[in-house]
Amino acid sequence: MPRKPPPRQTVVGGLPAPEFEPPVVTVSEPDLARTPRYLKLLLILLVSAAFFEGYDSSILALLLPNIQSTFHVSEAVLGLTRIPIELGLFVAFFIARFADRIGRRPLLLWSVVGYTVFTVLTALSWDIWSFAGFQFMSRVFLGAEYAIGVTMIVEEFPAVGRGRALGTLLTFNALGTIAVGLLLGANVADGPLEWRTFYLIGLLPLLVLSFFRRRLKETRRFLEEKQRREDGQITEKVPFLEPWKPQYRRNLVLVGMLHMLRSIPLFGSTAWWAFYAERERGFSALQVSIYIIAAYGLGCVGYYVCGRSMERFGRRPTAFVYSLGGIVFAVVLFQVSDKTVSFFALMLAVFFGLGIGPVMSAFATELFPTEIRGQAAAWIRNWFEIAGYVFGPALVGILGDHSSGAIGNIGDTVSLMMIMWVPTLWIIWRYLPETKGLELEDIAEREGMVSAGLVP
Amino acid sequence: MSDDAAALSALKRQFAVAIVAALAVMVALGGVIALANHGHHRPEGAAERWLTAIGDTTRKGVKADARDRADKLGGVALGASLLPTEDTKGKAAFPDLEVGKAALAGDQARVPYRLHQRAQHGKNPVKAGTIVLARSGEGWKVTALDARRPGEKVPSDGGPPPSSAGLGLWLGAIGVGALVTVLLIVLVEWATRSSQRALAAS
Repeated sequence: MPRKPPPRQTVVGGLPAPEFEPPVVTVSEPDLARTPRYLKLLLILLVSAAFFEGYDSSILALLLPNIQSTFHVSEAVLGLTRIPIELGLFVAFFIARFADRIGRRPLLLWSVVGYTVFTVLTALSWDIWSFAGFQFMSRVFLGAEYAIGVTMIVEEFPAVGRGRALGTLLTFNALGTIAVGLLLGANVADGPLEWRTFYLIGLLPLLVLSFFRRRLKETRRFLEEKQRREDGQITEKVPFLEPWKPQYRRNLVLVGMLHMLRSIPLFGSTAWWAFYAERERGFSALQVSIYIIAAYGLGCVGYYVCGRSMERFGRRPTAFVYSLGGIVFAVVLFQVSDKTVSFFALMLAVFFGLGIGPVMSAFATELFPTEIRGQAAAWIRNWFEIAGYVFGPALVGILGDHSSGAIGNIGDTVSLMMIMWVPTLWIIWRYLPETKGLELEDIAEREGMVSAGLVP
Repeated sequence: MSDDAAALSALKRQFAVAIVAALAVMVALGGVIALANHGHHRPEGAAERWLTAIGDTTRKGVKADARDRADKLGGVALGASLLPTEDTKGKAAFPDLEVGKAALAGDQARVPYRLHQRAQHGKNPVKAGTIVLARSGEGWKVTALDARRPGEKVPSDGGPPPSSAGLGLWLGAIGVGALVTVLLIVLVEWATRSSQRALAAS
């Protein structure tokens, strides 16, 4: 594949332009080029993983009352069972990090198998604890599957097209949520198998996998890395703390904190919007369902637009505009009482707040070299981001509790927490490196120079 | 010990310190939140929980738990008039509910409410009124249901929310936001300098 010359870069790592031009990067792209046909196939396989990540997360949120009824458990027990389930995504880190050692392909395939097996077992749960155990395991594999999917996209797609592919991947993540809403609207939960039907649908990824398994290849960048290992150029084992080494630490702290400061208010707001709309704004249950399906449906276009705009305008301006939009429209959403304004605010909050996903995934993967990319992405997603996933909803629930909360109002609590997202605007503009149009080797070379102090 | 092993060992120590520091911050934050929440017992919250429990008394699988919850907040019998007459087919009696700001008078509180009763066919009928609560120890218990008085409104009727953040909290949040920004800048600058120092030394 012909390689275009690297763009002239005068701003590095978000820092002021140096007085000299950085040396022209001369690292060559790996030889094993992928055909557009293969890339299309890869995307089809990976979007099914992303779809079921969104689907599975939404089942639990939307069907919890039905599951509670089946197993005859109190509110208190139900709250307790959520802790191990949510921790599954954190534990996924320990699986995902092996992608740098044994390869992306085998781990992706085993993650799909693991996810499918435990999702089907969830449908066969006999009590709330077996349900929690199977869901914990299912999330371990699901979290790993998703992290490896993003890494494979970043490694296989060329600089032109990488953003679009990430956008497409995450659009399907949102479509998973919409699918659950549509199945609920079709009264699938009232069928003979009740909520268990939703988990049996989780068998589909295995069918897709069994069809495409042989055509899925290891990423060419991992193969190169493997070759270097076999040649003794780099060590066989990647230590657990490798991404924290000085040369990678800056980007890990920077991108990790951005993920955490975004995810705390974001997951706090998504987890509580339906409750807020009903209890503080008087929405009927039907209105809540319609708003979620319609606003999500329109708002998830944000993922795709994000993918396109990070290619056209760059990662940094896209992340800045999306963060700003996410904050503004979430505050509007949780402060206004007019239902028409609420609809558009919800749609735009989804568009910007969730739609920022592709550019955040790009930062979490592109800024690290191949030998630690999987592990660095796992640190960012499974430690920093999952911290927000766990603590965001808990903080809103505790502070906004109508009886005992210090604020006593969900809408105001979410709005106040959105202020936590504001610092990231400055950080994005001032510190994040721009990687638009750069191949991963170019980025690794340049980031190495930043760390080494060759450029500011 | 090789340079690599020494560096990894130093990294492990730093990582352990960082984990302890993160846990300390979480514990401190938990303490601050517990302190901030301490002493809040709003009648609006008690009324809302009682209504939720009454609604759940028709829900399959959780009826006993719902009765227990309702009993702790004033009893199930008081809520009988709120339940729909037709069978809910194992679902909660109220698909949605809302409460407004309490009017306090001594040890009594009046909380306006509005809910939809579940109907098998057609529109879910609306039920609205006021819940009367009395102080019980540190909390509140439902003592009666009453018709709404003039001015008693839920937020969707134009009434005030049960509680809202004051100006001090908004200003405080901006202050916390500024503090987080500064801490983050310090952290990123530290990470950049430590990278440069380590690489220069090697």
